[in-house]
Amino acid sequence: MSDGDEKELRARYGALRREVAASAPPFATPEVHVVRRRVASWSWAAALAAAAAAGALFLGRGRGPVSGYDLALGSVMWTGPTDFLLALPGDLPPSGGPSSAGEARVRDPAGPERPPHDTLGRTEKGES
Amino acid sequence: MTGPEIRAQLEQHHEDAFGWALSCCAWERALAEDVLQTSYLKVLAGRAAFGGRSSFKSWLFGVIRRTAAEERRRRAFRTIVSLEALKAPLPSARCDPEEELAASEETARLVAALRALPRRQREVLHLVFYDDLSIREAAETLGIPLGTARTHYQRGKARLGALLAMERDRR
Repeated sequence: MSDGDEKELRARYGALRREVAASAPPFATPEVHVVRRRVASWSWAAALAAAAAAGALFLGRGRGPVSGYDLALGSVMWTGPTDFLLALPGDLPPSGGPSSAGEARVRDPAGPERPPHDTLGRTEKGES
Repeated sequence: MTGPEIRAQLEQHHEDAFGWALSCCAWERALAEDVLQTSYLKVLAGRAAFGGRSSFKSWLFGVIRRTAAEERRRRAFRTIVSLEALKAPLPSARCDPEEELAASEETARLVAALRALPRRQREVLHLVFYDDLSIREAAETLGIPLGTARTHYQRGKARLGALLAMERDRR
């Protein structure tokens, strides 16, 4: 392309520029405020919801039934029904254990104590 | 830069921005107006922030170019997925530069020739001849290397000259 052609091209572009400028729509940005307000209200609502959720989590922490249960467990001792089997000689029988059908016996270290009656309920003297 | 300052800058460059939007939208006036409005909304709502690394005009042209590219992609997707696109002619085929710009005959021929150019060549030529930018400034505005912009400029200028000469010979 020669210099003359380039000048002609510039002249054509100049004419195009003038016609575009003449037909350009007027400068207007009417919807900007609406969009900005909508974005702002949305962000405010999201921030408020997040703050409320964080506050609820913080205040609700440590108030659940678990902590109260822990306190009750500290003041109560639970004994199982078979805890008396774990009792060693000389120990007192556990207070919370089930009571035996016969009388309580403490084993004598010197030797086994004879039962007061056999399995049929008879005594040594033959009494029934 | 405050809101009123940005608004004043936009108003100052409005006509050039409209011409640039037309070029980015292959001289489809309705599309260019939509792209320009969307670009202004982006700027004023803070979705595109001016960092001061270039002139405001170069930066604004970059926003318009990206917005036009988004709109082109959106249209292409709609054309693919819409069955109505099979019935209706493509928007570019509907557009008539003479009707759109109410331009003179010479201007209408120039616009028709510009629409036949590849997009990059058309953009570089617009920035250089329409906005009187240097090739370096055009490269910065388009975000491409200087050598690439120079190649687009040379090829575009040669092709546009050939198209206009062909049109002249036809008459």
